[in-house]
Amino acid sequence: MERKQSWGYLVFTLPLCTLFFIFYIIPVVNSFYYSLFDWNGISSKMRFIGLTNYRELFQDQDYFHSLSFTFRFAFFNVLVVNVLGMLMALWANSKLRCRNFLRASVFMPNVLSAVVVGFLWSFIFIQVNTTLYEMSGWAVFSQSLLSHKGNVFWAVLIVTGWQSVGYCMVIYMAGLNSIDPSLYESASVDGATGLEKFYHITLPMIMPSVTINLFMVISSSFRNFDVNFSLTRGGPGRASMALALDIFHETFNRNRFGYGTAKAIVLLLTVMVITVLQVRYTRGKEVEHD
Amino acid sequence: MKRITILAFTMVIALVFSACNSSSGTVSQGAEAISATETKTPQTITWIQYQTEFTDGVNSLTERYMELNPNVTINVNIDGNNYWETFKAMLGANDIPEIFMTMGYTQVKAYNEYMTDLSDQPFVDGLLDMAKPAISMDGKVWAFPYNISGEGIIYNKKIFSENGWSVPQNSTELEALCKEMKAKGIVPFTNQFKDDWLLAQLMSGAGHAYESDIQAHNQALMEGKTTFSDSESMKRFNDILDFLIEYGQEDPLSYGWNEAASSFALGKTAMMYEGDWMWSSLAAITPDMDAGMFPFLSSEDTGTCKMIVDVNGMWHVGRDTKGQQAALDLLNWVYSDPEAKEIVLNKFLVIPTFKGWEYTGSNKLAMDVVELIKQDKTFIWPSSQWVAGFYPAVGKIYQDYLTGTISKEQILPNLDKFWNEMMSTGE
Repeated sequence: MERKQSWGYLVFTLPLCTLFFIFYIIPVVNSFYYSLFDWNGISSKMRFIGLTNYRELFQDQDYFHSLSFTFRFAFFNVLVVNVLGMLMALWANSKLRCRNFLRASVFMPNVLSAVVVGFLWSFIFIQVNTTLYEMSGWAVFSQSLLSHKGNVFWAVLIVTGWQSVGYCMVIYMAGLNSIDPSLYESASVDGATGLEKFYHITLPMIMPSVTINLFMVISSSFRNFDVNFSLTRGGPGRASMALALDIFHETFNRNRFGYGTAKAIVLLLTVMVITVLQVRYTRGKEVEHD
Repeated sequence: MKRITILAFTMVIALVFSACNSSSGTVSQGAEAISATETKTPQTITWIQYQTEFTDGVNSLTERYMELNPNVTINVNIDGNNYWETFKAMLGANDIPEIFMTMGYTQVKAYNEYMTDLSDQPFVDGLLDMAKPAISMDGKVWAFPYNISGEGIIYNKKIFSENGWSVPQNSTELEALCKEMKAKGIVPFTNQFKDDWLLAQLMSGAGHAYESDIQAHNQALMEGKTTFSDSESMKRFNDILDFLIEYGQEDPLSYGWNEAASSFALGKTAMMYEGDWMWSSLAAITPDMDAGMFPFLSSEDTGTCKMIVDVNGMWHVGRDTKGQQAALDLLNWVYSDPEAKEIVLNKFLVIPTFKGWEYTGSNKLAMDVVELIKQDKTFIWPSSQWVAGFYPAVGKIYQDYLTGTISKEQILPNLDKFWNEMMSTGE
């Protein structure tokens, strides 16, 4: 009886596994193969150079700049999106009358296409900011966010965060709804304050949601491309060239397929290591429901 | 009940898979061959191109040709955003299209193994001399050029005539004019410096083009016999860039195509550096726009000041493809047939590449470019001759200078460093 069941499982997962193998595993292996060559992506001649691309990578100053930009971006993005997402979820879960409207409006940016988002925020940062400064004279509006290399980091962070908060909020809301309200009642009877309730009941019980959210935001922060591309194109100069955009620029604009693919493999390994460690850590903190 | 659900699920998945097989989101025009009363063998031509502004024109040409030649099927794929990726994918799959596009010069060299030699074709004799450098390599012709474009200073004729200003003829007059404008409170230039490709073009048109022999200079750069740091015109360009910043609008790094077009079209500045292709954006914002073009004046000598004007679109024929002869016949028909000439002149609205063909469009900038061609005041286009991979890096180096990441003295050494990097990567 049990053997028949496991055969059944295999048959049903086989299509998906095949697809996963063809469209994910094989391209990754192929990419590693291409990263050992010196190839401009056009001609049919490829020159085998072994691990030279990887050696060049570790000495490339521009690559380290992109690396540090992406790590800083990932750190702040994870922090901001998760904290704001959690706050939004708590707020949207409360007894407010407008909570449906709140949920819809916070989630809406998530469904917009990145090109539209980039265009919209370019307009805001350039035209709207200038007008607001002329009207109010506040210094916060006088900074040009897209043309100073120090500020462009915050521009990309704001726009990506704005888009991702809704998604995090929805996942946290699902987590909050699954907590048994009797826990809160018994805590009130024992005289716990709101903050204590949050720290001792809510937080441990939504750890699965935290795992999911952290995983998703970390991996998408490292892979962030479309907003970066449509908002700044890596500019000004190379100030906002995150890793994914750098790979695109290297392979398609500078015609260095081998080198760009090597960068992509390194990015893949980095993201894999970080997310595996993160999931292990937060999984360990999850509390089982009774 | 459970069986029905599973059945329904399987059908949905099957439907999704069949839907995934349909064509991707590009403008694709497949045409059926009209019933063959001809005894000629059926031929198929795959035609791939970017420059979506010519969609109408290309479709008119191909439809007319298919009417006259029922045995030929032409599949046109006009893709403005992903042309290069699609094209490279086709090459990788060994599915070389019969007709494809490039920008000439180094791209002719890079993709040469996929091109047919067109030197013996009838249309070659009808070409303007200035159209030949971009399509030639090793003394042979590799493409059918159909479009010429120029890039220089676009000026607002209304502002000029209101203030009684005439078009400057050399750099001294340009500087004096800008000082006068500033004194009157008019911002002279819109600098579109958010787009790094524009900075690359500006460097090529205002700096590199002023080398005494551009092709020889590029050749010497590739052979390592000279460097950008040794070039007088490149050093002069650094000063020109400072000049543009001084007489340009505030915060140039925030101005991309759209912002620059609105700024100029709404009359906020008197001039901008761009190409004649900018006209459609300007006319869309201000329908009664009155503007003209003159070369970027980098020299005090009026005779040396010329505009970069060159072939901006060319069709290649895929080598050893099944429809190769059909594609050659098609291109020769475009040149020789009077109806095809009508379509090219009236629907494409390009500055023509053949002797005796007149420009018929309403693009006022193009009209000025045609005048300059007649007066022989043009340079060939330097940026298409640069080593592959250099063009995207150039603009970013100048942006680094503008944000203060590098100093003025570091610009030319950085250019040389990137040039050498791109030269040393494989061919």
